[in-house]
Amino acid sequence: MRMGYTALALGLFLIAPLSRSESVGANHVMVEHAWARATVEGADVGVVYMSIVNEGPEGDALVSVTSPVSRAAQVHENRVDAQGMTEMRTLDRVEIPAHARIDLKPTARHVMLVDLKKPLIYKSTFPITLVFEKAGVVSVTVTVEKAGAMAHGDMDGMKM
Amino acid sequence: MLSALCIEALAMPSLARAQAALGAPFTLTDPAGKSVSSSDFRGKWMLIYFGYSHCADLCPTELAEMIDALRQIGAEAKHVQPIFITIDPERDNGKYLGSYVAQFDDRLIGLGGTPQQVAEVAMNYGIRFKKIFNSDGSYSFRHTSNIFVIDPQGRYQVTFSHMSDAYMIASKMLELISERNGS
Repeated sequence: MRMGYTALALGLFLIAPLSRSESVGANHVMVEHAWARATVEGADVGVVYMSIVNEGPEGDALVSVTSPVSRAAQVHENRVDAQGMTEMRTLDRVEIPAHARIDLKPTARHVMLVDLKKPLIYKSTFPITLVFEKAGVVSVTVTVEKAGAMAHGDMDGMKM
Repeated sequence: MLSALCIEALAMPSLARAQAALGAPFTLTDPAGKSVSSSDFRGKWMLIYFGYSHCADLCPTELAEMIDALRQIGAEAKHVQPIFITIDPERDNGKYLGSYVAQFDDRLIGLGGTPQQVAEVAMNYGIRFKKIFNSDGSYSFRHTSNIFVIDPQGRYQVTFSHMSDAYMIASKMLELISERNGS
């Protein structure tokens, strides 16, 4: 997914006054609990999960994702074919219906970071920019959890 | 009706063959470049997952479920050896493969080898995978994402699909282990 420089500039302008990373909203669209899995040196890909909440009366759609930590960011979904093989499909847009909560979570839809510029270190944070068709640009801080985490803030049984 | 019977008759032998191959001995390569054979784990239950490290969502999730299952199994987990076999040994090898598996758990062993070696083991376990090239020249895989259980005598026991979570894996493992201890 791509986005114009205008949108990026607008995004930087909009996020400047925001301090909360947990829930960042533009108009009626809020993004919560954005987290990624830690990666090791040499890893090319990463994954980001989050919840997108539309509290407004109108549907919206996520149309672009970018992050400075990777060359590209794509929304993927898993598809299982008739032979039981799983395949990732890139989505051009994710519909966010009115009054809906869309969870990007393990084994479901997720953001794949393609060509990481450096490893994602546990407990660090990085920015990700989402562009919604109506709500516009939403910039979110992503928290890096352990490689084996299953949810935001997952401390359960994973390697320390 | 007749055609359905024929299909079943034809399918049966190949299914039987596939089940015979499940648990077939294998020799692969660990991150240190050392040869590792399935027989090295005799006396332990093997939990084997086939995947690849450039899989950002599904493979880490399966590995996390497998490791979480060990935690839920509790004390008996010392008899269980978790193994990650990469279907992408060209990229997953050496120190990188070692640090990839270590992120999940110290007990997790990563195994690769030549593409031919890996393909043979995957075929024996009924794992299908196909390289998919992206427009930028990079590749990923369409693949079966299953976890297999091999008993301490090296015999195949059960398969967990990618729909299985840690609790399902742990309860089945505890059942298998207690059955074995009771007999």
